[in-house]
Amino acid sequence: MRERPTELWSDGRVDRRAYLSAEVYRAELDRVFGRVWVYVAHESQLPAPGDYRSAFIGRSPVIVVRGDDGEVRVLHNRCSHRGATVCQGIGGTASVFRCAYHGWTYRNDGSLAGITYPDGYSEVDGAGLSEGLAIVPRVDSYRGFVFASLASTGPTLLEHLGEVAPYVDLRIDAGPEGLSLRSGQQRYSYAFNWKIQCENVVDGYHANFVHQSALSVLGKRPDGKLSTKIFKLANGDSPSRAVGLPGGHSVLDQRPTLGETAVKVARHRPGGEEYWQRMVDVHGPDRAHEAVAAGSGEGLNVFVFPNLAFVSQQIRVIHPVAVDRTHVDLFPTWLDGAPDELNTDRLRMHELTYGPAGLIGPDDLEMFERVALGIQGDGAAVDLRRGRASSPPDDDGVVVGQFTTEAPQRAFWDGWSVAMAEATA
Amino acid sequence: MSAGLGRAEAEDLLFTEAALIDDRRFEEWLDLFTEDGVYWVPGDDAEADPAEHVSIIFDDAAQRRARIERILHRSNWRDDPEGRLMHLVGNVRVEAADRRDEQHVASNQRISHARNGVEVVLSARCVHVLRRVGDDWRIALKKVCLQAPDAYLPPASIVLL
Repeated sequence: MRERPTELWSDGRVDRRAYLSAEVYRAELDRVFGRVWVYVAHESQLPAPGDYRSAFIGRSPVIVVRGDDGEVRVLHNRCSHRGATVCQGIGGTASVFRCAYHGWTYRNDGSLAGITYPDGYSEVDGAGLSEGLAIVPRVDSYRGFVFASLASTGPTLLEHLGEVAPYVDLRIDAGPEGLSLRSGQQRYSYAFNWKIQCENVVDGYHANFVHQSALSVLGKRPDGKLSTKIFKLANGDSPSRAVGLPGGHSVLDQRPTLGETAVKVARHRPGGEEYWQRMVDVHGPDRAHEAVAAGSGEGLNVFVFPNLAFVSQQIRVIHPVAVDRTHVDLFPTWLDGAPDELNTDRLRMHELTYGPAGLIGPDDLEMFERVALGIQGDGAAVDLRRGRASSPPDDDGVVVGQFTTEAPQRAFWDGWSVAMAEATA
Repeated sequence: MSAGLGRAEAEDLLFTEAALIDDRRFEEWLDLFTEDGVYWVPGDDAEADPAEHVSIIFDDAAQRRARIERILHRSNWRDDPEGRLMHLVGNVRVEAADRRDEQHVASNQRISHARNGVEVVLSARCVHVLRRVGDDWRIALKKVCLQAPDAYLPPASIVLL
């Protein structure tokens, strides 16, 4: 990459090449997705030995699989012979992965199980021929969320998560017994760079404009008890907060506006009182209140660098496919230990608002594609300076800004610049 | 098959429904449904229980109305500039229902949405559960099973299927 990251992100502005350049994109695959911890699956998707999920780390297809020994590994989905993928399913159970091209087989720990017609390799040392499927060197889990790093050295997962971990905890603790992913997924794509989706999931400034139609409609719903407050949430004087964290992470904390109401709404949902009682039993009233306000519906958007977000009742995984093409997976979260009827009600609210046919989500994509066109012209830059002067970082590098400030976006680009810096030899 | 809806009548009903959507006569489209009617576009597992598995759309009457109000809202940016919808309804089959006052109608549909010089076409197998209400047939369930429910759908590909 010719440009230094500091040329692309400086003084609160993003050079358009950071979104448009194929060279920058390739460098991101190497330096961001090739080094940083990337979310790949949730342990609830892999309860038993042999259970697997297909995933991507950047453009690398991988298999996240619980081996017969119970350990979760991340294997490159690539036959060590000619490179064909050995696993075609999105998820399931397998004791072996068999390459259909020439019949090589691998155990679910990645080791080579067999080569067809092995005599043909007599001149090659059998042990040196293949160690099996290449294994992603580092895998770790944070409270059920499995992350992997293609780099064999670097910060630990806990070090990477850093200041964002307590916010992830709040989202997980919204389930009396935690969270699981068991309700399938939705998918959408858009024709622009992956980073605009990362910026957008923690953008408090856009809601009143992009989502005007959805807010006005949802506010009229008989169960829309958030209605009057949701109009004020994203006002320029809203008490809610936009938080930038070190490492590229960030948070939109809507609880100062919606918190009390969110707890009332949660308790009024089908099964809501039972849910609230279980939460109080498990967490005590204070933590229960905090977690329900944060994680049972609207309340706390959390972005984990580089491509995982907790939004509303879902987690969102953002996949770069090309410099100008992005795929997004939405997994509704299931609150374990909450009544089924409450989780079903959350699913219905999720579908109404998000996913490819939601009232809220797709409007963002329209804006992404408008930006994609708008910044084609020479000299274009993206301005992220809102609230910069009024909310300086504290000693730990945390920026707590008003809800409509661009502190989260600046945190993203700060984290991106660090990740994109050339490794010093 | 006691409810006695012939194929020609079933086709008329499906053609009319499609025309109401394509002509943006959404209020009349809403009126086609029974009060407890469901408009359902399953996700990647059409056989899964929607109580436990996420769908693309699972609308009751209130959600359908919200969806229509939002389409018609002046700041619906996905409709700026306004798009055009076109349904092609074919392979209509009248099938048995569980209830005496109902009739199942299966069809294959191609749904085109054109906007900003781009046309997106989706294909679906549809099932309408039609229920006799007085002299009329109303939709108790419209289930739209996309050919590729696991596709990474582009923006604005789903307005109303």
